[in-house]
Amino acid sequence: MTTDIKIDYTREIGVVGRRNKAPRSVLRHGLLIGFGLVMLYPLIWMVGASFKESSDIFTEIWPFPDPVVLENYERGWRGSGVGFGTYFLNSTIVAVLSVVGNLFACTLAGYAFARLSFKFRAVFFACMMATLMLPHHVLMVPQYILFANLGWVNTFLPLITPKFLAVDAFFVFLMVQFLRGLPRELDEAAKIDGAGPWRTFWHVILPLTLPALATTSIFTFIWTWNDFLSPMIYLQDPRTYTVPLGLNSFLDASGDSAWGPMFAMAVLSLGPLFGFFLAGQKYLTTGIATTGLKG
Amino acid sequence: MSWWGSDARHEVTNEVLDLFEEKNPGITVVRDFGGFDGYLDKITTQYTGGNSPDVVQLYNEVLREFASRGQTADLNTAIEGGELSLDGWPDDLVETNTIDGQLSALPFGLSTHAFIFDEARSAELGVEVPAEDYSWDDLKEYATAISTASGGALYGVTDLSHSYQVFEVWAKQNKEEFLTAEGIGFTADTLVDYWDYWADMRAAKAATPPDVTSEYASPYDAVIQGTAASTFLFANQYAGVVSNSGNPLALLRMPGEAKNPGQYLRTAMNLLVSSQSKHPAEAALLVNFLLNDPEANAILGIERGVPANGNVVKAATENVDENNAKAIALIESVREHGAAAPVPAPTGSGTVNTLFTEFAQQVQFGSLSSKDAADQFIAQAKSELG
Amino acid sequence: MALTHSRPSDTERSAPGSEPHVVRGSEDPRTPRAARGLRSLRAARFNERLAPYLFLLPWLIGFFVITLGPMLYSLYLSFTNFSMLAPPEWVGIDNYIKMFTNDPKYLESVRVTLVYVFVSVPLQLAFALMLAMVLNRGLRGLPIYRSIYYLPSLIGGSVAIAVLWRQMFGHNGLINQILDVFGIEAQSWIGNPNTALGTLIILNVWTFGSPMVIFLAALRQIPQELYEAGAVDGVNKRQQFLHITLPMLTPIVLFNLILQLIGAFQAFTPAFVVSGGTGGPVNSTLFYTLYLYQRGFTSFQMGYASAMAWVLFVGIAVVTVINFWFSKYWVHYDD
Repeated sequence: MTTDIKIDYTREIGVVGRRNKAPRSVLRHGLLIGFGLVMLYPLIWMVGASFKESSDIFTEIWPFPDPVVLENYERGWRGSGVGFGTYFLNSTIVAVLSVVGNLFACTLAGYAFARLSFKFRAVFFACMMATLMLPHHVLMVPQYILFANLGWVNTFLPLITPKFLAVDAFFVFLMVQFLRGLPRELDEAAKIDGAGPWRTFWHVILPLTLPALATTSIFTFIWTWNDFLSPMIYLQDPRTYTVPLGLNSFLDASGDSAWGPMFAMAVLSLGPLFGFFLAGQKYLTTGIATTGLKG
Repeated sequence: MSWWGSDARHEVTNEVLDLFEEKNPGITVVRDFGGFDGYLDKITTQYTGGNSPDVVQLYNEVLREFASRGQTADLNTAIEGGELSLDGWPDDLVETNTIDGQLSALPFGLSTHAFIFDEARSAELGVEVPAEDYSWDDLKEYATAISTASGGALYGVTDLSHSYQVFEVWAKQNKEEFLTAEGIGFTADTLVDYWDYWADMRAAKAATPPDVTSEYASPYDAVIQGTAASTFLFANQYAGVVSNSGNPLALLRMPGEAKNPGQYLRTAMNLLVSSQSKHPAEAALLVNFLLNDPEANAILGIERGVPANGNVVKAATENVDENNAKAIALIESVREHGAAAPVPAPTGSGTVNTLFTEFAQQVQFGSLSSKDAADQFIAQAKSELG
Repeated sequence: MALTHSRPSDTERSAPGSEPHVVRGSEDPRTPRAARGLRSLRAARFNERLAPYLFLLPWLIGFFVITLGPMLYSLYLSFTNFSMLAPPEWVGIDNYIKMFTNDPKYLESVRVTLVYVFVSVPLQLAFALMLAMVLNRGLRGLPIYRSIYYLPSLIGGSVAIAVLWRQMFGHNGLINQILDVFGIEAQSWIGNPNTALGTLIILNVWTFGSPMVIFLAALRQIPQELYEAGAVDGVNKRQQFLHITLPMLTPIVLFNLILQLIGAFQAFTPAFVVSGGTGGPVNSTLFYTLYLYQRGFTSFQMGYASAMAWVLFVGIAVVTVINFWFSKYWVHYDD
């Protein structure tokens, strides 16, 4: 490997030619914070609600609880029978394996579509895009029949296997668009140096797409974690339930919903999501400098 | 077994299922429960995949859809086989669930309509509250007085002109039916009267305006949140609503019941055995246990309404708290003095119920007159029911 | 869609003329190229032909096994009266005819969806791009802002939203409390058929985090050298944005545009959650997929629902192809 690519993971790169103007910076921070508060108000309300007595949740408009009660968390954590400890574990297993699956399969497929030439590429690409366009509600039933025949109902397999087979066309397309934005010269250089498609992919392309990989990981994790419909249909044993199923079981359209515990657990379930986002966003901001290229 | 519900229901049901497993070694009950959202999708998808649960909790409106397509096991077989008993069951309730000559399901709890109002706020505002045997006009008076006394800050009652369930009571009080086996069971005039009644209430600012009405998926939320002083609900929801509300709420029967009762004991939800079940006998044993076993019903209480089997009512209602006792008293009063349950709704009734709401909303927002809406609704409903 | 992939540059690429851009070590001491035999060359060529399919293998399996079958089956179902509880019966194109001639609610759902798509997508993307640009500057505390702005997207589809939205836009909600200060009369924004859709559009814009993150990632991928070179040439900030940032960002703008369009056409959760599954008041939030869902799962008409899905499919495909077609004129690929 002799392509001269230096990857600088430490530098926060800004736009060149920026000058320091203190008043403008204060103004900008002020605006960003103000706007952030507007964005966050509903969340603050939700966190507040999770510490309120259930009779206060809907009658008090003010988001801050008075008195502060922890009962919602205790009641909620016990869940209905199985308990949220299990649900969190299940969600983590499904979400982490999904991330691995999507990183593996969607990156490979994305690279093939973006950088390699082969017969039927255009046809396959159209097929891939087409899978994005059919509402999944009508695919749910036929897919259920398929997985039921495989005997996969009540396991995590119907939730995870598709990720390893790049069924999430969203991420394939994401990789394609990112890879197409990378300078062609990189591949050329690698090729001339004798690297095959695999080595080019692994040593040249992948390191450069860290932000895209981070995006894929973050979204996969969040979307799988929040997914309600598929787990609901495939998981029939409470011991296999994921967090959204646990949350839903607090709510009954025709009776008394346990709103307090629901909000408490909803707040807790934001924890892993936010944690994963924080961990992942470091790579979003990684400055990547492809030196050795003339702009 | 599959059911929907909230936290409290899961808890008691799981406890009863543990007891069942204990008493029937060798049978394990897989419990699949969740909230109401998505419940029907799950059940139908599982049916389509040939993978349905053995025992299913299902609501009235869709029971016929399943039964008429042969998806429910005939419980008469289990009765002949001795797994299930109908000892203590009223005949008319068994009849209600007999579809195409087969006993498709059995009611898992009974309930009835009820009226709740905020006693504390009424007293604060100095408004006289409705008494037993109040009429629809009394309700109008009460609601108007609340709105006036509060200076418009509190509406008297939530607008329920879009509820086909409340209209059903209204129709029965007028000796008509909402739906019969043949189709529409009421005259256009009755519906126009009903919608006009609510239009008057809105005009007097006694009932919630349309935008506020449609904000609440469950009208009782408007009472909990202090938007309206009163509303209609089902008696078995009463205790839960009270616990979510800061104020004490009083419970009454529907208005206008004195002369000619329109309220009836309605099946809150049903329990059926799937025709796909590979263990129909064991499934029937479980159904029998849940519906007929005193010990089981002592645990289940009235979470799903009052048991239909007269022999276990006592066990289920013995240890209830004060609020549930009120609800039970109301349900029992309807058992004594109430209307007969309607025949099973015809296929397509689900769509008709939705249409009812949509036309009522157009009247609420003033885009259609009651007369035009009633005529159009009846015409479309007839075509949906075939 | 195939249009973008017939790249004229494919042939040019092998021309030596494209190489001088690359500055690299002209001789690599570690790979004695001359020592390579003919055999390995042949193997390499074979490898090169087979490699694309190996890269694509997981996707191929997934497509043919998991996706294609169910898609075709749903296409078949669209010509039947499938109720899910009984075997499907062939009814020809009845479902399609009914949709356009005898189902006013269907046409209403199309109208609602089109309004939603064409208002909320541009707004959301503009928002996302603007904030991504602001947050891309070397501002202190950047990761915090990024997280704050992303947070709403974490709960965008959860049941909690129904309650939150009532707290914001209900007649007792925050918005009315603020408007009250200015003496504007209170009304229920989610209960009024004229404004209910508007609140869902705001909900969509509020969860702009996803496209924003994608924009951010793309901004980071723009080679820094381009800006450095620009700085040498003395371009100002506006020129920098117009001539470097924007062109380099266009593939991702296209991505976000297409995906958000598809997502908005298929929007389901917000309306389902906020309207309690009804699409009310008076069908004002009856999104296409919500109506499809009602038909399929509430009215037991999965055949009709499948037909609706395929009409939507064709609609989305047309919009996407048009997008790809126009992308030739504004999307800049480095190839």
